[in-house]
Formats: sequence, structure tokens, C-alpha cells
Amino acid sequence: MLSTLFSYVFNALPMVSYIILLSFALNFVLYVAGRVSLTFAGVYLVGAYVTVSLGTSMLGNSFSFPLFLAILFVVSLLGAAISIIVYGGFERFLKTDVHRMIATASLLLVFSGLIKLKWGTTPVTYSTPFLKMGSTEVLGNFVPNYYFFMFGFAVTLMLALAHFLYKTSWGLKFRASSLDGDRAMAQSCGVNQNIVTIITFGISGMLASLAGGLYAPIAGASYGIEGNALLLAALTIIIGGVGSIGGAVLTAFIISLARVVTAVEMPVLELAAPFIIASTTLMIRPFGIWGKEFKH
Amino acid sequence: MNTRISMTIPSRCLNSTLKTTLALTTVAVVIPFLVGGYQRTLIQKGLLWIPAIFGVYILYSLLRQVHFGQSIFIGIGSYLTAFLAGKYDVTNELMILLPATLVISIVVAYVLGIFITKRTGFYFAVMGIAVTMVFWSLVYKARAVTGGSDGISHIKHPNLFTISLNDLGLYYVCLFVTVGMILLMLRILNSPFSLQLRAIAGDLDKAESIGIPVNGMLRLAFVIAGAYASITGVLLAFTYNYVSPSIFDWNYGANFVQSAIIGGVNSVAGPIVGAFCFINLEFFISTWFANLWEIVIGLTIATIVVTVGEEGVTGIAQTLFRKLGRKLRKAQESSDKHGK
Repeated sequence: MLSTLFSYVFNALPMVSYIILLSFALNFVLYVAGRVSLTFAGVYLVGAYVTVSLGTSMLGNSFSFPLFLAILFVVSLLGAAISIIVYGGFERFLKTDVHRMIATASLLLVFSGLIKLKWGTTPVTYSTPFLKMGSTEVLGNFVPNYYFFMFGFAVTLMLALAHFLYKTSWGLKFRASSLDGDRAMAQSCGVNQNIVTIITFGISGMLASLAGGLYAPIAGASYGIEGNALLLAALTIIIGGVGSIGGAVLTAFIISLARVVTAVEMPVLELAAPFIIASTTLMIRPFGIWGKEFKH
Repeated sequence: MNTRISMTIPSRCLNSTLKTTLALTTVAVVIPFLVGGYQRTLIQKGLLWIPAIFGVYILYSLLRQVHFGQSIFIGIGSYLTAFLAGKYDVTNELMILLPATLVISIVVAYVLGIFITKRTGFYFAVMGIAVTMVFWSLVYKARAVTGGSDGISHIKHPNLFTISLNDLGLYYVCLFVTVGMILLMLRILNSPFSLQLRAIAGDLDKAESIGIPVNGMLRLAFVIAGAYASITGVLLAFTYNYVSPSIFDWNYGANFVQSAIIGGVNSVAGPIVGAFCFINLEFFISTWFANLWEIVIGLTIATIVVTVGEEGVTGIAQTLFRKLGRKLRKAQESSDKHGK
């Protein structure tokens, strides 16, 4: 009984990590920059495909851990670059939330169209890291080591981000420009809003592409995963609320456990489970469980 | 806050709008005898998209909300038709199917509206996307009931008052239903209800303080949009003779928003223009550059939103007419002066 419970938790670990990273990509942009942006889903898609193609072309069937980390590093830089370029060249000119939503949703179409041109619609896989890392037996379950690696990576990133936001002076400037603070006041105190927004978009792109890159050895990359990514990130924001790192992590656990349990017990309801949780949360606490009432 | 109050139609222009509608309807009635069957199907598809785009329009122009969820109700209408007229073979009588779909979709929209309209703006949009993907996954996984990814084909021809309709008859039914829904929408847009929605879009708290039931109005607008889309869904199922889970794809829902933007949300002719522009664009691009479709439509919408905003084709036309009118008037004034 206990080992089944733990099997649910262990099976949910990769999904937890990927939801943490994705939802925080969206959360960060919404919270610090105060802008609505859906491009993180496109960056997720690019990150997944680039990891798969770099992995299969450079490593093939052999596996070297440092090289895999190097691939992830390159992918994260690529994601940050794409996000900053899309912001600087395009999203900067969108004046209202409605325009931003429509334009970035159309940009998602462009991303998936470009990916479809290069790789087609058949899924591509790169499961070498996942297979070569082996598995360990914990509490009666054989858990692939890759799950622990992925989870550890995501949690480390979140801890680093939390340290940055709450313990450094630059983090203080970010929090001052965020929804919790006052952007105009921060600007008049000398915080350069342009730099803050550009770094925010860069961090968001890095998180999104790392989510794609880390999840690629487990699920591969296929056409249409950005819709799923967008959906899960948005539901996490709705349930967990904007602006809380711990809240995002706990919400990711809630959603992933719900999905894993329903996937085993009642497969039909797999995507309906997070939606039911989101609807319940909207009725009880409309701003999210850990959210605050921002005038957004 | 960006509260550009734009009058959709001043009441004194209603007569000219009705005249234009009559003229376009006459053209649409005559067209099947002038063009071939494939073009007629394309026109039929364009006509059927208009009510769904009007659903997006009412939520955008009056409430400034982006409604990605029209695909939910088109899917509900289409799958209900596929079940009743195709797979489970209960009835293919339009006079039973249309009212039944209307009732079911109003109930579903009312229930979904409780959650989706709880928060506006970004959250409304992503809840729309979420709900449509949930429906997608439900329909995809319940293979025994819905046929899964194979979809349902072999939908019988519709009957209207027990007369079996062939393709031409179906075209006229679609035209009649669409024109009826457009006239009803014109009536809704010229009612106090639309003014209340505009007040909600202007300032939610002020609207609430003067007694407008904000949540109820939002939900009512959502239900109207859903009802329009589901009737479209019934007729689309008969037009295509095939439904599959991809009708619940969020990309399909986004297509309606994109058509609304192309047509323009500052004029009541926007959805009509947008429907035909989008359908024609889709036809031409898929015929000649099949694998560039997403890139083209994505870049087009992105460019339109950045440059023109939400005015779209009708907005550009209005600006051109105004400038032309001003030039003509100036030319007339100067010629009067010189003439004297």
C-alpha cells in the first residue's frame, strides 16, 4: 500500500519538474514584467527538438553525462536568446493585454509551423540519457535515476531563483518592479526597467527551454506538445496564483499527482483532473491558493 | 486603461445595414447557379463560420475578452450531430437536431461559464484553451463511444421537415440559418444589453456599483457565443460528413479569433469580412504552399496586430473611405472657390 503511494509520487517526479519549470517561466513574466506572454510554449517546443537533434547527432548511442549537461546549457542559452529576441523585436510593441495574447498565440503557430517544416509531424525521440542512467530501488519501486536527476535539476534552479529574488540586491530591484511592488516608483528610484524586462524574458526563455530539454529523453519531441505545455502552465498559474515560488512547486506536485493517479485509475479523465482542480480553486479562491489580489 | 468606445452601428444606420445584408443575401442565393460545387462548399463553409466569429466578436468588441473557446461548442454541436445522425442513428431531422443542440449547448455553456468567466482577461483566455483541450482529451480517449482519433464519418444526409436535403438544399439551409443569426446578432448589438457589456468593459467596479450584474452578464455573453457556435457545429458536421477530435484543438479555436482580427472588431461587418478572408486565405495557401500554412497565418496575424491593432480589413477600409471623402470634399471646395 505504501509502496503504491510512493510509486505514484516517483512516477510523478518528471512531470513535477517540467511543470515547475514551465509554470515558472510564465509566472516570472507575469509577475516581474507584468506582461502576458505565451511565447514560453514555443521556446519549450524549440528546446525539446534542439535537445533531441543535438543529442542524437553528437552523442548517438553513447552517453557522457558532462556532454549532456553541456547540451542542456546550450539549449538554455538558445531559449533565453529566442525569448529576448522575440520580446525586443516584437512583443515590445504590443500595447494591451488582449493584443499580446492574440499576437503571442499566433507566434506559437509560427513556431510550430517552422518546427513542422524541419522535422515533420512524426515524433522524434532521444532516450539514451534516460536508459543509460539506470535505476535504483527505493521503497520497493524501481525508479529511473533520470527522474531524480530531473527533479534535482528543477529544484536547484528554483532554489537559485529564490536566492536571487530574495537575497540579492538585483533581486530586490526585480521585486520592486514586479506586481508586488510599484513599477513607476522603482523606475524613478533608478531601476532600469528595460534591463529588468529583458532579463526577465531571458530567464523565462531559459526555464522553458530547459523544461523541454529535460523532458525530451522521457517523452521525445512531437508536434503539438506546446498546446499541452501552455495548458499545464496556465492551469498551474490559475491554481497556484502568481508570484509565489513555493506555491508554484507545491501546485506542480498537486497537478502531477492528480494526473498520475487518474492516468492509472481512470485514464479517460487524465487531462480533466487538473481542470477540475482549477475550477474548484476558482470557486473557492479566485486568485489562486497562494496568490495575492493583484489589480491585474 | 484602453477603453476605446467604438459604436458598432448607430441606430440611424440600421436601415443601410439591413439593406446591405439583403443585397449580400441575394448574391449568396444566386451564386450556386454561377459557380461550381467546390466553390459553393467553400462559400458554405465561410457562411457557417460567421456566427462562430460573431461569438468571438461580441466578447471582444464589447467586453475586450479573447475567446479561444469557440471550438468547444462547435465540437459539441458536431459530435452531437455525428452521434445522432451517424453513429447511433437516432435521427437526422434538422428540426429536432437544431433545437436539441441549442438546449444542450446552453446548459453546457452555463455550467462552464461559471468557472471560465470567474476571472477576466488572461485567465479567461487560458481557461478557454484549457477547457477545449480537456474536451479533446476526453473525446480522444473514449474510443468506444466517440471513435477516438478515427473520428465519425458516414453521417446521413439531413432531413428538413422529413424532406431529404441534397448538397444544394443544405447550402440554402446554411444560408438561411446564418442570415437569421446575423440579424439576431444585429438586434443584440443594438440593445441595452450591449450597452451594459460596454459598461462592464469600461470599468468593472463602477458597473457593479450602478447595479449591473457583472457575473451574470459575462456568463450570458459566453452562453450566446456558445449557442451560436454549436448551431454552426451541427451544420458543419453535415457539410464535412466527418468529425474528429481535432475539432477541439485549440488551434481551431484560435482560427476564429484570427478571423475576427483580420476582419476587424470595430465594425459589425468585421466577422463577415473576416470569415471570407480567412477561408480564402486558407484555401489558397493550403493549395499552393501546404506546409507553410501555420507560418503564414501566424505571421499575418502577428503583423496585423502590431501594425493596425484590432481594426482589421474593415478598419482599413473605413480609414480609406474617410480620407477619400475628405480629399473629394477639399477638391470640391477648392474648385468652388476657383470657379467663383
